[in-house]
Amino acid sequence: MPGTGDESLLAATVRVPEHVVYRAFVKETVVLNLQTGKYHGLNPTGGRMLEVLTKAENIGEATAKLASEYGQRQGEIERDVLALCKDLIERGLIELHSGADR
Amino acid sequence: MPTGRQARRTGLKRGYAFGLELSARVPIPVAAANGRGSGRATTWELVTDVELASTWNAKEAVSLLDRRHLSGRPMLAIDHHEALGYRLAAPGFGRHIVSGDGQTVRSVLPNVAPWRWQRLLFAQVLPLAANLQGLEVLHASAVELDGHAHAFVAPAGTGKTSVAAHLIASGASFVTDDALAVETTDAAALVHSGAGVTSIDRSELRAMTREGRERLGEILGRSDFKVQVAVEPVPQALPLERVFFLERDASAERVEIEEHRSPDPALLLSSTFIWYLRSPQRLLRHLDACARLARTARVFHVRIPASSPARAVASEIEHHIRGDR
Repeated sequence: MPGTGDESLLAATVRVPEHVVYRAFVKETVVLNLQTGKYHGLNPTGGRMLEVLTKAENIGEATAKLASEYGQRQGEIERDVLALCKDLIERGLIELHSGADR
Repeated sequence: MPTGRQARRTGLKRGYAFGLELSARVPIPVAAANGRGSGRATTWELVTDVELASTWNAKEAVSLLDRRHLSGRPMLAIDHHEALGYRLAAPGFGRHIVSGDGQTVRSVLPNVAPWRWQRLLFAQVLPLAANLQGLEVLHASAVELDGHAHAFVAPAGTGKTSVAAHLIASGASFVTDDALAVETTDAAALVHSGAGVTSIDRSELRAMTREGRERLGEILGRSDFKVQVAVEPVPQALPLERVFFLERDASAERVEIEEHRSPDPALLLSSTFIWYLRSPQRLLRHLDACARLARTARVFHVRIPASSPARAVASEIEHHIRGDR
């Protein structure tokens, strides 16, 4: 588990736990915790961020890709991505792994 | 599990409902005789009270559903046993054990008119078996128009059965009443017919023309305000083209039909019929099915004024479907 500072988070890899699945609907992504049976909704931007985060080597790489997709500066996107990550971690929907425990 | 050919050789009776190819040693009531299944077979076996009791372990079972009348009298109980499957019991309507894989149903039937015990078999037991065999079951009625299926989802009492019945009376074909078996792929959602029986309000039957009532089918029995009518289900699986979410809305001045191009996932997720199954595998399959449904079917919201009769709603919906082609 990486540290909680933003620099440390940017170097971390996002993984979705085995008991969590997500599916894209037309304009919403539904994230389901199979252990609790609880559904969580993400808007299209949040859904796209999650998709990119789970495929990227680390959060920093994901923010660069998202910044390019949305035509925004990386610093702006970073704030949103990190806020989303923190929220998803709190809800147990993603886990962060540092380079050491990948 | 006997295949269709084996069933014919062994003298087993066959029928199709909810995507299941049913086989039994007794005739299978109101199930389509010439339908097509989805490659899923279920054997239906009538047993005695003693036989059913000997195959169940109540102490190790968990209650999934305990629905009661206002008086506290049991209405419907569904229990689950990890190894033995699901036991469904409704006083006066029968007791059934569905195996965990949905391939076997063992039933004790009460000594009442067949349409009474058929209600539990077709309204709960077979939809559960279909779900256990991998089909998603929506709380919906559906009809066929022009080769496509159109489903109606609504809370109980809103009129989905009545709307479907009026559409059938005016020329549509019957797909199902109340429980709709759906098979989803990435490309399409296919629906399978339910049992050939519908339970409609007496007042709705009276609101039909004589020709309409005749089109609907033969009356099997009457209970409270409902009439059980035998209806011929379409024999083949159909692509699900539209899902109409019906809502009574006192502020609506006329029937309004609006397409949801990006349907709320919660609407689809909450339209499940078998809501009491919450295993991780089942939750995942349900989410998958709803996500595919959102992509492959068109979803509409129908706002219905409080005073609009089901016949008028059916007429608007038929006009909407036909006019849109």
